[in-house]
Amino acid sequence: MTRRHRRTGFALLAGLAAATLLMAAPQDPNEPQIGLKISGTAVRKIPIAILPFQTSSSDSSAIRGASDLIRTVISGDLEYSGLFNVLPPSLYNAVTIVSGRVPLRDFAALGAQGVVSGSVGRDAAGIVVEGLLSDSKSEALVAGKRYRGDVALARDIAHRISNDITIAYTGRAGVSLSRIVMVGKVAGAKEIHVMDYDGADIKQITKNKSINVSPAWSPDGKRLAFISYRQGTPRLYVYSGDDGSLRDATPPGSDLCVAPDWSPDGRFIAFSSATSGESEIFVLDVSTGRSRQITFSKGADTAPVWAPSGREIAFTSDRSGRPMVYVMDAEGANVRRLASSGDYNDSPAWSPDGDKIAFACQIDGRFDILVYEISTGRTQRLTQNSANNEGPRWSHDGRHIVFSSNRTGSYRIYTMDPDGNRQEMIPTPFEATMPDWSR
Amino acid sequence: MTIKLRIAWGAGSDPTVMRMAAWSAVGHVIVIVVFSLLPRFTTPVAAPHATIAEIVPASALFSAPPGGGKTGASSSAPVEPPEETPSQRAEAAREALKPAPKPPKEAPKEKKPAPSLEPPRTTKKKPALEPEPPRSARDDAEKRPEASPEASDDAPQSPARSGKTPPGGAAGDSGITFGGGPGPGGIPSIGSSAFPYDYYRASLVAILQSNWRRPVAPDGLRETVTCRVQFTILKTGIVQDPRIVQASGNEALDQSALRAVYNSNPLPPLPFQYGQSSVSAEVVFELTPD
Repeated sequence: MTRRHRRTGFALLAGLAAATLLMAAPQDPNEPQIGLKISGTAVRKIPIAILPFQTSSSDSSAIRGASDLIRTVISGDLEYSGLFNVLPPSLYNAVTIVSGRVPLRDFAALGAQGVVSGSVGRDAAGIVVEGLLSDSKSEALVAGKRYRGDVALARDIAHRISNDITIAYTGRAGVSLSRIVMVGKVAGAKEIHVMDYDGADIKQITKNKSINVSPAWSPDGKRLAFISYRQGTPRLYVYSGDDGSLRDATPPGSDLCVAPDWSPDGRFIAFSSATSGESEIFVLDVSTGRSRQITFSKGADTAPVWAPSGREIAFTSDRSGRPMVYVMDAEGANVRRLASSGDYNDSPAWSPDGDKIAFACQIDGRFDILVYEISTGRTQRLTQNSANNEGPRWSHDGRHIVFSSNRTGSYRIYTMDPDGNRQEMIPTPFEATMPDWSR
Repeated sequence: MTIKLRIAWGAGSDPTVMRMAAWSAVGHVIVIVVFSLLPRFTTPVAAPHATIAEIVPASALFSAPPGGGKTGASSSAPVEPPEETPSQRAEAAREALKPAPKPPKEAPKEKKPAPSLEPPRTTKKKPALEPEPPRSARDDAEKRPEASPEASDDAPQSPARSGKTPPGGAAGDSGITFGGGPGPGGIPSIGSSAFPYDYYRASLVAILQSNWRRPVAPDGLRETVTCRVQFTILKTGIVQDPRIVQASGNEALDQSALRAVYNSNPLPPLPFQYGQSSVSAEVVFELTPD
């Protein structure tokens, strides 16, 4: 259902997206390809057909509903991944399945490389879902699994099947099982919320009617670090999803904490704190609770983010007079300035491959999201003419960027491809900012 | 201190004092025991263990012996216990590779019961998922005996053997093709009839291609250069021991080819019908001048 809402969101955005598309598409024409044949660089999408999940005629409407939901969710996941081209069902509505046997050759003729089929049945535990992926040409079963669980888990199961399919083709998990944490404005307070990456299943994590901001997933997806004003001043908290416990992780002497980010090994949290009047960056050892100051410059240093290697940290500093993105070694040495476009750069985010840094940049009084490519030093603008676009964060597979924008008048969470294409809103019933994408 | 104690003890010829001392000692021991145990009860150990127990089965079930049949084996019984569902392997591959093997979904989900921060909210049913190898996998295994000999017959004519043309028709103009070299140590080669899975080869080519950053030669290239890289793919899709078996003489190309293989790890798990534990792949990376 959320999917459907989202679809309408897409439609609303279509104009904007198209505009952005036009602007984002041209890629540096000034880089000549010297004497090399570069062929087939565009990654071909895998054409895939998703058949209705079969139910028996005696099944209740709940089971049939689950079957429809599963197909819809898988279709949405695969389409969203950008790896698959989900063939429109109208193409193969006429294809009949006789006694559970899918006529794979027919699908090969239709151009589908993969065929997803399956069934949903009843069980003491709730439902039994079988998801199968076949290769149409060789008629081989590529992957298959059976899930059993409560009916309420149908959506979960569908995401898992999507994930299985993605792994079967790429070897790596996609985002179908991932979640997005964000700050939602509820009754004047700012509370931490978590939702599925597709906007389903929004859950409120904090309910302290205070201000809770800057949530960041731990790399294992089990903990959240964030800043809360629940005790009056901004302090650093760690929320554990295992037991639902909340811990004040503020190191002694660190007041006014801002913008935490976990190291890739989950052992440290970098954050900034204005202990001595000016904001400096600290690294907290999560297990011992000890922290170490790593920047000592004149001017405010804030918004630290780790490189995926864990060896470097990108951050924002106004040491040169205006806020700009800098990179330093994880120990604080070897500080160098990164991009210099715009007069106000903030909230850097390192791509999972380590080759790019996305950041927000103020251009003509509005924030837009840019991506800096480290190997070439080039900067590409991803958003334009759509009010403010802020707080970029990458999905763990590097195929998407999540951010917040007030292009519709109030702030909402959006995702886009790393080239700025497919900017899509994830509808929330409240104003939402500061997203972070789980593994 | 000691002296005082002695005095007290000495004075304890009085039986009531002796009794009091004994009770005191017993009492202290009890208190110490209770207090040393107490933290285990006060810290909410039960909750996290309950949730972790939820997560472990989800990934652990992938090690349960399922019913995938062996290619070409007699149809009825699943003779090959190591035949896991492909997804099991995928999971295993993920787990082996990633430092944090939790299914990402579960952990966030556990956020739902949140006792300490706020009043407890409704505890969602645990995702008691219980994937098993699908029935149809078994059906498929039964069909397979017919399918695979046929595939095996095809394989010798498969372009992979020719060493130049890509198999599976997927490679096209990619510049990446399969070499026909035999695997080291008796490991079946990916181009051989022992590995009749065109779709897997097609995926492999597509993945390598998307991860290959072609080097830029400042002076341009005068002739086509090729580099052969060999590596082993384990069941789980994990790449092992990539090495250049035939250098191109162009160091940048050689390195870019190796890099492409590194960056493609893990690959998709090997087809679950495939009976061996690994397959050897020899891949030719080709750079052509304009």
